[in-house]
Amino acid sequence: MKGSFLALAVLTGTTLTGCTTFKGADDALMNLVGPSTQSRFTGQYIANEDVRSYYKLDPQRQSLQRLSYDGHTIPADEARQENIADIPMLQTYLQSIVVKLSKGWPGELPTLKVQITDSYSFGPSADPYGNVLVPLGMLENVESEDEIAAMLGHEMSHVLLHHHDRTAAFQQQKKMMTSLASMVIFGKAVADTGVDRSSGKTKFISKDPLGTQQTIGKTVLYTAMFNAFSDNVWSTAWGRTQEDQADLLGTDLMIRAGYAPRAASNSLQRLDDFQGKQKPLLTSFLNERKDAIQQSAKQMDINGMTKEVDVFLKQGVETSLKATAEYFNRSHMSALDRDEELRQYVQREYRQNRRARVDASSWQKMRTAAPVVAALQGYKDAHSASAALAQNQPTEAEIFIKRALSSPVKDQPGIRRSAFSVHLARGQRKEALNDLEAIRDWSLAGQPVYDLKIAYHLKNNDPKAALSLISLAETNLGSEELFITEKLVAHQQLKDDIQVKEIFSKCQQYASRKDSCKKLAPTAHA
Amino acid sequence: MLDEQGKVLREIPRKDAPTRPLPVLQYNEGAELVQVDLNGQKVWLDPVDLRIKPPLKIVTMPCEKVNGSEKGAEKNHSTMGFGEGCNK
Repeated sequence: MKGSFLALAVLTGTTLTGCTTFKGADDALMNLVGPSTQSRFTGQYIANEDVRSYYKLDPQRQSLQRLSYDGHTIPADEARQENIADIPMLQTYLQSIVVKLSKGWPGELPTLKVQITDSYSFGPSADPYGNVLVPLGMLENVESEDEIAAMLGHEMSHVLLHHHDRTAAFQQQKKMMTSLASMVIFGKAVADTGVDRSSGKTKFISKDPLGTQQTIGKTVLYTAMFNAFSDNVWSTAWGRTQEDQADLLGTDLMIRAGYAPRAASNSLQRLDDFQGKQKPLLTSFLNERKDAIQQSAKQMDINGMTKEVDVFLKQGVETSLKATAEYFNRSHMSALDRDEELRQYVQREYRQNRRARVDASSWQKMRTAAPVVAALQGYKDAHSASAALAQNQPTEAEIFIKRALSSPVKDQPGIRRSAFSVHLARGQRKEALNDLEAIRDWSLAGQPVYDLKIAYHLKNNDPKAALSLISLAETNLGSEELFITEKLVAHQQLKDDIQVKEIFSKCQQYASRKDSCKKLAPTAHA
Repeated sequence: MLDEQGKVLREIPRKDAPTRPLPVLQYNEGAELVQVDLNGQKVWLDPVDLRIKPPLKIVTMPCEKVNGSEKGAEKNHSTMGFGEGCNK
């Protein structure tokens, strides 16, 4: 079986280097074993040869992305979960910072659109379609436009440098590993199956049930281990390289736009504070194994590396694989390490700018503007209501939600989602349903809010209302997969057999949905 | 070394920088300067040259206090973040 694992590892290793979507994998290896990202080039990062290759936009790539977003083909797990907070004055301000930063990019620009989300997490994020998502938690904590520019510049850089390709590549690899494992399992099962005709009827039997079971067990375990290695070591190493690159390019852009680079350091310190302290539990275990893995990786010794990964992950399973992986991820992605590297880069390339002061005035003016204050307070009250509910304090939750429901953003999905939970917890079912009815603009809603209302319509045998909302979800979230099972149920309720068959057939394209569809409509595929 | 307005007075070579942590005597947030006692002399330094503990730039709501669903578990998998999730 060890042989099987090695074969899988070597095969995957070949694919890693052979596939164009794995552009950047060599940098990840350097990140795992070599010097820092910023010391691997000279001059400003934006003018570096690697970055220059992204100056020109590939029109085909752009049109494919648009097609993907508009054509309902976003995979379900990539659809937007957060609700959008519609605060036009603030959104315009943030977009203007992106425009300012964009002017420093010497190449062609993809579409970049800022959207504020109702999350109180700290870090912004960007998707491959150019949406830069800014959580309310970030706006709650930053002190200057320079800091906002540092974080937006970082996110824009992920898009400009096509960093999302890594995620796609790893998903592809995972699927390949899983199908290889399925082939091993299937092959073993077929080889061990015999036919017993002694009873007069043909009956399939397993000639070696124990052996088959062991093979299946080991194959599944090794596949899981390999995928865990990819996710938590390789992908993290690569991810760290990309974070460094986004830090470097983001800093170039912010300095070109006239912002103070120290703000990038400020936001990384805040990120570190937000994330909290590392768990010391696994330090010695990791230090012990890290050197051995690095040594093998440095020599490109696949066998040695595989053995070490095996030990790393087996012991990891024993000491809790999840905790080990999480620890590796966090220690490797340390915000303070990133800050350290960035400071050295600024010292090297922007000596004259490094002492520039941040200007807090423009952000102070924006955050104290009456419409912005009222909207932010509304969201804060809704968040406090949810927090009070989580702490089993429904009376306090109701006080907060009443305040949120008197704010100008009261009919936005994020506010009504909190109100729904509070009212339901208080046994006020009618008010809870009114909360869902009160949502004015469904283009702002994330998947969980659609979930609630679609489930409600189906439960109340109102398939037409459910279908109308599903259609909105498909358009606004860009995914047909997301609510395909609900769509099937709605057509069943309408007794529309032609549509049931059509939806059932579409459902078969989606691996994670097809079994549910079969259970829901067992006769549709007969 | 800077004056209290942040104007550079002179540079201290790295080899002459103190190796042990020094207590911060004052923090001028507006001018972004900290004052320390360096060999008996009170001097102003720029935080950009220092690592200060506890950090000067913090958040009002740490990750562990953010509602469960907002810690990153419900985020769409296609996004790339500035840095997500709690360490605790």
